[in-house]
Amino acid sequence: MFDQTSFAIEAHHLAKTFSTQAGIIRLFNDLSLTIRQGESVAIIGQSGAGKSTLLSLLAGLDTPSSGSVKLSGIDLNQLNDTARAAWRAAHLSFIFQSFHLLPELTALENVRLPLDIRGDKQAEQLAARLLEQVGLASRQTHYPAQLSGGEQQRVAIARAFVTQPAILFADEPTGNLDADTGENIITQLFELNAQQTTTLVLITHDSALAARCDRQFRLEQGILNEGLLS
Amino acid sequence: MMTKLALRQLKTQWRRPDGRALLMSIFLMTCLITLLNLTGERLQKSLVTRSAEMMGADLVLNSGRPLSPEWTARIKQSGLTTTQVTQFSSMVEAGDELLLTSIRAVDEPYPLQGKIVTSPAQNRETSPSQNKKTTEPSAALPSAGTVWAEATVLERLKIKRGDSLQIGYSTFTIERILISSPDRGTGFRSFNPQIIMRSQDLAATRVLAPGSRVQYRVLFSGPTKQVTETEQAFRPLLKSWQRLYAAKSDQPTSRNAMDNAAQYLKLSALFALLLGSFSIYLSLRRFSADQHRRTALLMSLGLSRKQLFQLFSAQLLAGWLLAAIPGTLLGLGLHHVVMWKLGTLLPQPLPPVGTLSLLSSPLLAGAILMIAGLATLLPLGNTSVLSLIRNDTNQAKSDKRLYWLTPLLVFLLIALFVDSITLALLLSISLLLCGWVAGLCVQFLIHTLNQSLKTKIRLFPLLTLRIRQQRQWHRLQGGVLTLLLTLMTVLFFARQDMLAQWQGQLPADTPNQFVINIQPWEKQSVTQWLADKGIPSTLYPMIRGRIESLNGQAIATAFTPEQRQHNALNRELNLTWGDQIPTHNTLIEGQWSNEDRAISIEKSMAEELSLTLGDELGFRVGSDLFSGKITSIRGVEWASFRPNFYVIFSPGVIDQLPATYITSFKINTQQKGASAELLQAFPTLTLIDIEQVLLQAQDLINKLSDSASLILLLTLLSGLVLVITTLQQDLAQRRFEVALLRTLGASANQTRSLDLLEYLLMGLSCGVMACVMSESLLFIIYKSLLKLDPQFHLLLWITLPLLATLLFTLTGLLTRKALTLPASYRLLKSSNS
Repeated sequence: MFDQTSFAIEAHHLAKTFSTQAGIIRLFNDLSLTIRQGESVAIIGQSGAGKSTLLSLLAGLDTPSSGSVKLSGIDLNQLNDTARAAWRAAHLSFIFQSFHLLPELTALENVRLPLDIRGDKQAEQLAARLLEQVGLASRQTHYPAQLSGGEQQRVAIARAFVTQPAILFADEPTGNLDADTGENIITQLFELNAQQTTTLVLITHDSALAARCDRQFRLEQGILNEGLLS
Repeated sequence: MMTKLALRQLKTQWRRPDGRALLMSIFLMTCLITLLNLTGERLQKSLVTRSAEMMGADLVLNSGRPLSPEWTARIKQSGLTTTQVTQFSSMVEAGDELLLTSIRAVDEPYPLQGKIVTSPAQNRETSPSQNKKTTEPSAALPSAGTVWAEATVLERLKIKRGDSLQIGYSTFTIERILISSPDRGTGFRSFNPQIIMRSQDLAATRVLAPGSRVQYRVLFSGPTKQVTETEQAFRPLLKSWQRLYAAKSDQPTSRNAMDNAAQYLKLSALFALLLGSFSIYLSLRRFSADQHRRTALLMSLGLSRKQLFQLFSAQLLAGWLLAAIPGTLLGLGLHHVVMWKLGTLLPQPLPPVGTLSLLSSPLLAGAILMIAGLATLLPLGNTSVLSLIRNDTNQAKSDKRLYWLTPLLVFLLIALFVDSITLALLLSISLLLCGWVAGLCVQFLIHTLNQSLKTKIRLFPLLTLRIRQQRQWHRLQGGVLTLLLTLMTVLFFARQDMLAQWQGQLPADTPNQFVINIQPWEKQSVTQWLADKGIPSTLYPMIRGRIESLNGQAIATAFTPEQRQHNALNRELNLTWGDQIPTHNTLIEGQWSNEDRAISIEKSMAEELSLTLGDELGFRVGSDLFSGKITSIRGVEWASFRPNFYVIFSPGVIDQLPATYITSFKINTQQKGASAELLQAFPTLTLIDIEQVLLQAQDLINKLSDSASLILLLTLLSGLVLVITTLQQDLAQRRFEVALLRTLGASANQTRSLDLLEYLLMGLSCGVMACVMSESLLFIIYKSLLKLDPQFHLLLWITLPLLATLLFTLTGLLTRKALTLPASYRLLKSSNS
């Protein structure tokens, strides 16, 4: 299924415009970016700069007004809805700012859910192992409401890695956490990332966090510049 | 695990108020529709499919007079199996007890279709082996000198099987108890307790005399072709006093009453369906609005659209099973309660409950659930994982076509269910229109009431804002609640008032006994007997005759087609003669005249047939033809329980014709035994105890309206569920508003008061509006249907607004959840992020 390419993500001449009553808003124009497999990349920028829109284009959740995105050599926009959803399920994972755990499932059940969806028979062991890796072995049977914010995000991280994704998109993963907890979470995130050689795309507005990635990009006024400083 | 997720999801989501409202709507809808469907179907089935059995024949010739020799010959020639029945109403007597019954005098073979089922009764003299309570089709007819009587007869007369009762001059032993029998007769006769006797015993009772109201029936049975030929041959030969009923096409048994009942059931079913569909749709809409995040997450974890659809369908299916099965079972139970209540009014035994109609209600609910589910849940498939990243709560784009398709499909389902597009359309439109008008009025009332609070409460500006925000929901809630309360109130008061007011309006000296069939030779002695007892009475001669012409022209040309439908032109009238206007009539036009061939006619008949003073009406009594000139027009109080006549002749015209006499009088409580004594002295008289007839009518009305109330009560519950559902529609908006107020410094008490004030205004407005609508409806019903003096119901104006306020406030407070200050902050924060 994969093309013989060393690039996890190739985005060429991406443009995204929105039409509103006031006229057409051009969020960015002619934006290109390539990310190697196993690389970690941070995209930083001010609120409203279009970071989340860029992430959604890169993850194939949204279609660009022009330009193309290839993930592991595949142009998702050429696939139909079902095939695209199936490809995403097999190769991508997400970590969200607000954790998004299902309240009626235990920590273990939340982690194994993506494996269950694809019918993996090893779901239970794999999920338990991931929970152990994020230090929540003793909290397996707890429900989200019984966990702290940091613990909930660790469950979310375990859930994101349990499928051994090729690419992981993390959208402000520490945005809802205090500094210390955030630091712990990030350490665990990078550890798992290193172990699984996952390609990591991290959206943040925190320069210190961005600095821990292999490369950094700053999105400003529709232009993507490499490097932390504008 | 997916199943586990579905089950877990189901468990938590059905715990949500909208989930519960959905379950409750399905539950109530299946319950009501099962009840209405089964009841309607069994009423209809017992009337239509078994009409041959009920008629006791394939063809019935009904005649108000004994058969002429020509007819007897014709009947013989038909080649069909035939038998004759004579049916009449008569008071029967046992000890001091009297009862108006319907008596059939029959010959073997009887009946020609269906069978008579009797039961040996509990009897002291019977041996234990004979004492078992079995029912069996009886092969023969009552032995000579005995009768078969329905259990009601025995109960009312306080006698047992084997005891005797008196009919006219004869005494009969009760041989068997009649469980069910075909050929009960038509009209009110069929509602009276029934007795079957042999025709050879009839003459000895001397109950029948010229002028007696008797139905002579000939029952026919045979091959279908021959029956049809006979029917075709007989139809053109029928006289005005004769009717022909074919089992295939006619259901003579109180068709009108049952038609009305069926219409009522259909209207109720339609109302229940509309309410239910609306609640289901709204609760699903609310439910799906909250599913976007979850859907987006599941899709980000790899759930395909197909799996998503399966997940939600499984959930809907489970919800349907959870609610529809108990709903159907309760509906079935209630149906049996209703059938048991109506028991004696319906021909027994009832046809069994049809499996298909039992299943049709849960299937209907399922179909509505699926249609509404598709419209609300399908768009969830368009949810984007993007919403999790952007944290937006924007709903997925829904297909507008689905929103139009849903009401259309639901309407088609309803039309299919009530089996008529016109009826469904007509009823839906009128209900929606009434609801819409009521809703608008309620909204206006809320606005007015709120304005009146302007200087009185501090929360006024907030309340005004709230009322403006909620106005579309207020219209909906107001419309539904007002309609339901109005229907319940009208039913309650119409039933209460009908008998109470009717009896109350009667003057103290209103007769409570009617006596008919007084033969000319008994006239003197009956008058004397009553006078001796100190009972004032007047005996009127009664002759049955038909109007044949007006001013020399035949009816067919003298009257318009509408006028020709008038009762007076279509049946034999009771004619009388006298030398002065009856004291209880009023002279409206002209002068009472004792000139030869002068007649006085009743006001409404004169108006409807456009008759004026000086017109000459031609009559026929038997073979005699004669005419009379209208010299006066009288006002008649038909509900006065006195002998009343359309036409009164001056003396000398019809005096010589065979007549029977009729009278009515009042018996005081001290004279209670007098009617029994009168019957003992003159056994052939037919005495009708009006109080007893009223009691029987009251019983009938109570039974029918109890069943109707049960149906309405369930409908009211469905309405409340709809109100709850609508209250939840913008719960998020309400909570957000409350949270904002809380963080801006409002106390928990103040926000509570705001909600409470809104509910109070809403309930009060609905109550007042329901009062207005009920009084108007009751006014119309009293004026045009029940012919009663309209009344103002003070009790209604006090209780209904109170009740509505209580209902609405309680419902509102039940769905309301208090919000703490920290929770308010969190809510605002999450909404902003």
